[in-house]
Amino acid sequence: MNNTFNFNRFAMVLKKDAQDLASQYIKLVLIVAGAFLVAFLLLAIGNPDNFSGYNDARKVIAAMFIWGGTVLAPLQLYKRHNSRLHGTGYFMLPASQLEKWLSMLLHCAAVTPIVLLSSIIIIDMFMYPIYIWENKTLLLTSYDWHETHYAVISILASQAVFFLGNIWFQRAKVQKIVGALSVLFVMYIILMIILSSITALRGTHNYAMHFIFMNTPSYSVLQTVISCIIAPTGIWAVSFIRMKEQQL
Amino acid sequence: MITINDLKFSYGRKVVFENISFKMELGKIYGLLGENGAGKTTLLRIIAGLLFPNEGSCTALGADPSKRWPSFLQEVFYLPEEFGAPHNTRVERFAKNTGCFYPSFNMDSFCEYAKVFDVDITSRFTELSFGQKKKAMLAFGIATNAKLMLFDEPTNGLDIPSKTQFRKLIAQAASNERTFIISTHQVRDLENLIDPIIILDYRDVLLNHSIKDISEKLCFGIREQVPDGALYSEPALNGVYTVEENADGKESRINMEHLFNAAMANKARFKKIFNL
Repeated sequence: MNNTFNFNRFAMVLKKDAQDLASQYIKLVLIVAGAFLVAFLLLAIGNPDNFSGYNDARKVIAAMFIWGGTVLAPLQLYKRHNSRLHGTGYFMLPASQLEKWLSMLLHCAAVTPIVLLSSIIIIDMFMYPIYIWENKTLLLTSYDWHETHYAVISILASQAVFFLGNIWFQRAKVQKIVGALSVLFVMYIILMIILSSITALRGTHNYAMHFIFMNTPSYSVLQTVISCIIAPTGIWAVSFIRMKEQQL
Repeated sequence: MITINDLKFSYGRKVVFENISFKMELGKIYGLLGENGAGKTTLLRIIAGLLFPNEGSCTALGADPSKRWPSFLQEVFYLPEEFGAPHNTRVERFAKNTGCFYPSFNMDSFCEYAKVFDVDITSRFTELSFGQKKKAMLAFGIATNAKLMLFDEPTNGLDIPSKTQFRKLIAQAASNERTFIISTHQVRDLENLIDPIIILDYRDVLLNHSIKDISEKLCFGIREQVPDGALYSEPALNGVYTVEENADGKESRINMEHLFNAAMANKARFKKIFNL
């Protein structure tokens, strides 16, 4: 028997997770789609005379909620998978760690954004007849889908942090993730201050060179590669190792 | 089938096991006894692969449980004392979705066991009481036909008829191919079912012997007065219950509660009697 990966077994885990998570998905969709609806209605009520920016506003609101819903999805869908009380069944399920982890990743990083996006687009289609401004467009046709790949990658990169936090911590997950991020942010600021002070004291900082470097295409590519590929991939790898070593 | 070698385990500074070693065989129903905090649940979780030893090793069914290989997990069923039942899922659906991971799972047997336990499999877990959830999980566990069944306080929360049904089902499901390890405080619930008996003490194993071995070495009975050298005594209506060393080779019926109390009161002597 292949104890690392078996496609049939993986399909069974994926299916079981989907069935177990059905109610969580419904909850997530209701929250995000409901919030989208309410936010848009509040916008319309607050500014009924000026409809000129509604197409854009709707796009921004939808993107915000899809981003928020996707980033927080691991905490909603798999919040109890590693609790001592609820997680035993999950850990004892006869499937490999890789299959369970991959199913978790697929549900959080692929199924959730697709479900959220689809539900918001469907709501928009239903609301379309009641939009009263001129030049109204459907959300489905108003996004430039060729330009969204960076947004998708950045959503997944942000989600990776919460994905790792959800696996790493067993209790008070939200508080601990926020705390860890705050500590990292403070450490980053302190490091920047120290580095700036050193370069200022030495008088070696060349602002012109710095500006030129920051605007070179290679810097931009490097930044994209680090933030969108290396960072999330690294975080996912750490989350897998953590899951393998986790004890209940 | 299960080999524990120089196992050491601690929760931070609190040592639970210190270099314990013993073996368990296939085809037995082990009763795991011990005081609160003696490490019964910890031992079951180590065997299940949910906790990892700090030092030493634990091998079950020829595998290292901490690897959590599917080939190992499909032959093990662990039911904790308290568990979070699947949310909002119907019992029957849970059995179908989860049972397919166990190669020997039998849906018909599950339905039969659930019926014996009087659990409505069309109900959602959220609609069931704690005892009913436990019975549903017990029925599922037995129906997996896994080789190694680990039950942590299975009779907690069960009503009296269900305890009887549980004993019957375990006796019916027991075979030379399956091992049950049942941890319990309620020894009377499982009397006449468990054999051999393991008594855990803090950091150590006090006893790991079959009923036959125990009855050969100890004598249980009622006396008018507490005899010299008794391992344990307790007032009874018509005298005193006693546990003594069986010097004359008498046959007596083991009283689990008295055995446990005798072991707790005479740890060193017990280890000497049973050559541990």
